[in-house]
Amino acid sequence: MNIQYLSIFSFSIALAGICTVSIVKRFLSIIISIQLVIISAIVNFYCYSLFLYNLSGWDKIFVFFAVIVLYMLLFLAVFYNYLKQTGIYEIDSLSNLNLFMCTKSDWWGEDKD
Amino acid sequence: MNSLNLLQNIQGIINNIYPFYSSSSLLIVVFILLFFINFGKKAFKIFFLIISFIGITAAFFINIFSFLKNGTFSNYLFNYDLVEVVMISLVLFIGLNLLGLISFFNFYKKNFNKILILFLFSITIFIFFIASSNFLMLFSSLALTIISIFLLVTSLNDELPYKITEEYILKNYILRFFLVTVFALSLIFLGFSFIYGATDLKSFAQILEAEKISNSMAKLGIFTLFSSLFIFSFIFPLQSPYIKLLKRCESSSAAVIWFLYYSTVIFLFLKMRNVFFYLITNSTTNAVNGGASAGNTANTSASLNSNILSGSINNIYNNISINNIYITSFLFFVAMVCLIFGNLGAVKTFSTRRILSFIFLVVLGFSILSLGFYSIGIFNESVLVFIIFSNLACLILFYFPYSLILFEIEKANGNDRINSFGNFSKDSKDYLIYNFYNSFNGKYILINLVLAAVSFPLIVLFNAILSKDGFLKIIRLVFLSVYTVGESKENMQNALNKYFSLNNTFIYLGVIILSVGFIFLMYNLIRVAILMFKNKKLENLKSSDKFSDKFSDKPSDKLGDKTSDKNNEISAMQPLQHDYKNQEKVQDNIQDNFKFKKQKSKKDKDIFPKFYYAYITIFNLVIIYLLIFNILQIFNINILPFEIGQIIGKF
Repeated sequence: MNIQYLSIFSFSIALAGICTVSIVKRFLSIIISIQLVIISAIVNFYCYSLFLYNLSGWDKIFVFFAVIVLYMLLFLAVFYNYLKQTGIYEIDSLSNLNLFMCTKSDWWGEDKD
Repeated sequence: MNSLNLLQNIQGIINNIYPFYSSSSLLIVVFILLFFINFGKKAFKIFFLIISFIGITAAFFINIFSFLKNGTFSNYLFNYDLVEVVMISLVLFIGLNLLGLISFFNFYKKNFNKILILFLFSITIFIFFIASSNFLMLFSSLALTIISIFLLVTSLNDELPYKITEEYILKNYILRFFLVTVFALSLIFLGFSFIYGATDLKSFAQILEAEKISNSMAKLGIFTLFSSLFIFSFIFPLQSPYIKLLKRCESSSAAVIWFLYYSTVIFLFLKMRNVFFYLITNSTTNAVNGGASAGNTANTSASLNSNILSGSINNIYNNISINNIYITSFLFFVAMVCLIFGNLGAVKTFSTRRILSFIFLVVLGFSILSLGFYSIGIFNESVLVFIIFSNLACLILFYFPYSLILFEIEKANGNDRINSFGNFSKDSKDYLIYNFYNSFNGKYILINLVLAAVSFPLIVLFNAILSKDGFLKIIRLVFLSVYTVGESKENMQNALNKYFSLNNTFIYLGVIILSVGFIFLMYNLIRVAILMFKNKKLENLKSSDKFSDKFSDKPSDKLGDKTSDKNNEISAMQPLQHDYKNQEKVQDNIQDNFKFKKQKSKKDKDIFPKFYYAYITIFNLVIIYLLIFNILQIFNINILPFEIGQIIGKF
């Protein structure tokens, strides 16, 4: 294991997360894609701390707080989604939540969706 | 002796918590209110309201006076300077207005007390975010601010008289909006990891001081941060979640997104402004001279100013340089897209919420355009920061009264389509709106709307080119032939040789974008004001024969279009209307609220409370005053009690 492998690994995870988050449309898939980006950042922090900065403490504190707040936000989103369930599988699980999907009405005319 | 020690201890604590006096006062208010959170009676709600108002007002004044007394503050985690004071003051002023707006629309909800506590808490966290400088503090407070805004928006959208399917659609749009935000936050986290790998430094100031920004990994980190900022702000083409949510959400939560969420985005950019300035000025392509000489924008601007005053055209052109052509091109492109597509989107729609949402993006486009003007050396860093602040202040002054009127009419009308406002049935509620439109009060509101609609785009225009200096510079550079009267032939020839230089192209492009955006914006705002009041009496007379047919519970029947098919089509576009009669899931308190409003309206024959008129008048007077100030600045007449240039210089 060296810094190159770890960097390539984290970079590919980040790319996978960014690409999938712009493609997928289900709630769970989006959450997983966002987590890929978060994991990539965590790997980066630990990799650079281990190989470049002789295991400094600052990065661990940063990662600790950042992960807490990010996962708190993710948890709130999941919890809010859970609270507003209709109980119908087709509606609850198959709804289109694609983050960057743009329809014609987002640019021009009235909102028909 | 003991009391003396106690006082000394208290003084020690007070000294230690500087610069967080304002947020501490808000936290004290939150702490007091927590004891009364479950008291749902009207008297307790009024108590909550008064205490919150006092808390925010006190925080506003404490913020300013503590800075005047104690001055700047800086440590490992926080930085508190004039820019931060202005940011906090703006947020607290927004807080005061939002408090009113939230109360107007949510007072009779069961969770009103909880909403107010969440609201105060979000402002408190926001103040921490503004003061933070270290990456650790910056990221944590930013994420906490977003969390509190998310909780506030979801609470405001709770207990609405919507059908289950409508509520489900709204939930999806809220989730979509905030998932984009979480994605942007995770990208910021990733960007910080790259910066950490490249520099091991903990704040932007340290990175700039150490000049480690030229490292390619640090550049990757900075690029990731600015990309996430782009995603954060929902600028075109990523506007879909923002536009869809704003169309459907509860009225005051739209204002929360406009002013709390977008303030977060703007202030995040201002925190990264020095990095942006560094990237602009230290990767110079001097297009005018064709060389690669590095240029400092501040020096360039200063010398440009002196050259304009001395009247030497050659010097003007020799000193303006494009700083990083790629970033400049990108900024002009994004500004153009925001101004053109934002305005086009607003032109085509009749939904007031969509119009306001698009226009908000247009004003952001004006701010981005001023970034472009900065990068070609029209003004310096201080001026740019001032422009961003004044654009935000103008948005606050214009949007709060304007959206308040539109939301209130929307509430009375049942939908937000301007062409359906005032198409009346025999419903007593509609008669009230009809009476309002034809009353003195209605005409007063119309005059105010038109005045604000004319003044606001003009102020934004002045902001974008910064009143006197920027205006004169651009006018003189653009209308070169007029300016060259009296110049020597050689100077004229040299100047004209540079006439079609790349730099000049950017200036022309900027001015064209600015002009088109301004004309469109003014058209859009005046259109809203006119459409709201256009021929209401006439339409009423025409449709009077069909009164009995039109009277129905269905919202589509009130839309007043000529054919029923058209009505049905429009109805399909309005998935979330306040349909009080057909609702399946209505809370009792919402019913009471509606009845209360209705009874009051019957008695007063007015759809607005009296307070609205004072509120709208004051804000309009300030807008008109600012407009007059900007116009007089061109002729070197200052009507302010202080010199504005001195304030700008301190940023």
